[in-house]
Amino acid sequence: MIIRFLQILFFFIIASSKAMATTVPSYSYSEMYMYDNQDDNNECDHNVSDDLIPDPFYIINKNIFNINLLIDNAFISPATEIYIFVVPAPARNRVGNFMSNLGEPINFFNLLLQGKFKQANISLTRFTTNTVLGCLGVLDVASKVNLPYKGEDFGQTLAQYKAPTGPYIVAPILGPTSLRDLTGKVVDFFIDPFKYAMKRSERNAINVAWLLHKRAGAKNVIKTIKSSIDPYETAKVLYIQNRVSLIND
Amino acid sequence: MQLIKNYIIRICFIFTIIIANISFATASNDAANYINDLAERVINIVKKTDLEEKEKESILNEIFIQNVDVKWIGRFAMGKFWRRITPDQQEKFLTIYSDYLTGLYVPNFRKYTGNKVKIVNATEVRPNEFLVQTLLTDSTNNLEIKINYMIIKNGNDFDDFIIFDIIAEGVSLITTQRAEINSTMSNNDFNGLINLLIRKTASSSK
Repeated sequence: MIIRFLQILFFFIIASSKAMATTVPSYSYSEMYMYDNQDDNNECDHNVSDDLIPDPFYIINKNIFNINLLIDNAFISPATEIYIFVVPAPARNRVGNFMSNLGEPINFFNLLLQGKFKQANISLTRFTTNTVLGCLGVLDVASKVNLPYKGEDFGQTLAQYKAPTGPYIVAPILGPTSLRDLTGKVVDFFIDPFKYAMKRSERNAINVAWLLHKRAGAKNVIKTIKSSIDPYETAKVLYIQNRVSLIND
Repeated sequence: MQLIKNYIIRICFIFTIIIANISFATASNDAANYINDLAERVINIVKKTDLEEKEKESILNEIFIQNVDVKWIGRFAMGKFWRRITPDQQEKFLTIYSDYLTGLYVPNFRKYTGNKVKIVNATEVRPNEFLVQTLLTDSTNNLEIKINYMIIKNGNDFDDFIIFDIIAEGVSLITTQRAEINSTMSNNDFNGLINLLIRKTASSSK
């Protein structure tokens, strides 16, 4: 009887510890005073996001950020509105499926490098399933048979190998990134097999469609950034938090 | 006799631990139910066809103010600057900040149409503080969004909970707010912050 009780108790403890294993924010509701004091002895009023990612190129970054905002307001945002108006949501989902399928070889490569062989196998199976049975990836058949999509890039692979984030960088058009993630983007660009299989004009058309599709998906986030009192700081802190979450996932 | 005594002590010990675990689980379940009920309320209001957009917005604003501890968030966001401003300024900031935060986040709730919320897990991370993990299914865009809520139980009633952070896909509302307010306070004075908050609130309500 006691052994049975102990088994139940053990089960409870294991269940509790598994639940606790999820990322728990470090701040506490009742201990706010400790946050008030944390920078009190610091003469220099540095920004909170500097604790998350260093920003030594602040002035250059901010100028590029402002130019990106102008470009977005003048061209990308209106083009996205037209895209959303002309292409209904179900069709946009198909566009997203097609683009995600084109990205599967990059996911596969990065998952292999990260030693996530099971996920790499899923990625490969997704690619073949969706390409053959899903009309070249327009339909996400794989998700229906329990093969979920998992996007991985070389920036995440570098993070897995403990490469430091490096400084915060705002890239023209692409927006917020870090030295590590920018390096990752360059590597992903060169390992993409479709880069070599497609003509330049086809690649350009796909890149424009991808930009519009991504921009449409991020519409609410970008609206929140623009409505905030410090859009530059908000974009930076949103970017770094999201990247940390993707890397830890 | 000693054997029976030991046996009873062991049973009492195990019983106490099990009861503690059950009450722990019940409190977490209450937290999960609170978030589930709240999400359903929001989705039902957004889906209502007999309400004008303005009416919906007003109800959603009220729900936000009642269920999110905007004053705590405002104080947290101010961080080190909180004690550098006067009590009058603190009060003025919280009043204006409350409108700003509501205007910034409530419009996002209006896009909940057709979405479903699934409770993934609920855990008591610190005494009376709960982390409720949910999955929001966005059927329009074929997406699943992880949204976690940090909530605190402030009383003994079932619904005495209040949210003090919303973490969407790893992005924490309060961390973002703290970065925003701190950066603005570093580059402006208090009046500059207040003017910016008023201006942004006015433009988001248009």
